[in-house]
Amino acid sequence: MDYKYIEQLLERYWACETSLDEEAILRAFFRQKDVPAHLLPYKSLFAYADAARADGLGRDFDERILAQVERPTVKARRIPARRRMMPLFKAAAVVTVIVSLGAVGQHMFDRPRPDYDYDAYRDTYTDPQSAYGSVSEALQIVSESFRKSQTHENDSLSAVPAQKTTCKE
Amino acid sequence: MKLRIFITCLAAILVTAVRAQDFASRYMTENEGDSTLTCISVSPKMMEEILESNVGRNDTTGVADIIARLKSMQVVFSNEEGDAHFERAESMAVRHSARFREVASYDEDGKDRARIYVREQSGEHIVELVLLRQQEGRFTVIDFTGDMDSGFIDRLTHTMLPVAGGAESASAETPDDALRED
Repeated sequence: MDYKYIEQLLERYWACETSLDEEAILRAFFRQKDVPAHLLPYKSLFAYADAARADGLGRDFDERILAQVERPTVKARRIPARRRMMPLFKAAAVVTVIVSLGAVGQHMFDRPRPDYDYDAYRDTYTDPQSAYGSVSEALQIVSESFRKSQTHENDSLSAVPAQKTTCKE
Repeated sequence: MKLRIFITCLAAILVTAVRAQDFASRYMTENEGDSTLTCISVSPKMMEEILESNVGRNDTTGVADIIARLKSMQVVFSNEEGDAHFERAESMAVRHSARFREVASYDEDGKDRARIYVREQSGEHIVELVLLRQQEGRFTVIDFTGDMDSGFIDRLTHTMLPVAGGAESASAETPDDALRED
């Protein structure tokens, strides 16, 4: 096929001498699928308009623009009461633990504080009367020991002035 | 991480809350293999029963008031090697001098000697009173725990305590004999 006419139009196109109709002819020619190899380099030049025409705003263009411009709508969700109260429950649990630890610590350091393992005691007596007798005797011994110690202390104190008198004489 | 910290704190508190032994129990523990030692125990429960019994309710000598301040009593005694036991007990009290303070003592040429210790908390509050006594070959530890103070010791010192009838009629092999003086 002879493409002399197209080549002539191209020469005129480079010289900016083509009319609008002639440029339309060139665009129509290069729109075809079968373009000779020696004219292929020029196809992209005349096909760009078609490609640019294909570019357009998509169907989601409005949605994208509006999403950037408008405030997002918040859909209301139903939150169960238990979930709503969960932070409060957690805070209450933490406070309870801290107060309990504080109470335990205070109880430990408060007086009086019996800390003997009374559970390990095995009663020797099975009746209170026998136990009372034993406790009374023990108390009597302790009482007598206190009195004896006081007597010994008084005796040692009273002995000191006598020695001083002797020295003076 | 927070759970670990919480468990550690709780464990620390629990460890410190472990109950301690009184002097008599500790002495028995340290001399566990000594068959010459005998221990008499009166638990807090029995102390309450004493106060609720007839002897406690009908007391007119003031002993019941004194017993009301007591939680427990333990008596450890031995009729052999009194001096060795006494010195061992005395050294144990000295080892725990941060806990036990000597408040009275006497010594009659080694034949009759005694030491009285108290364990105090928060100043004047006495939680334990311990008597170590040696008479010839006989050794006795009398250990009271309870809610005591210096006023209690004054009352105890100046109260004439009767010898209970039940103990006098006991046989020679009962523990009460150990408390009876010769």
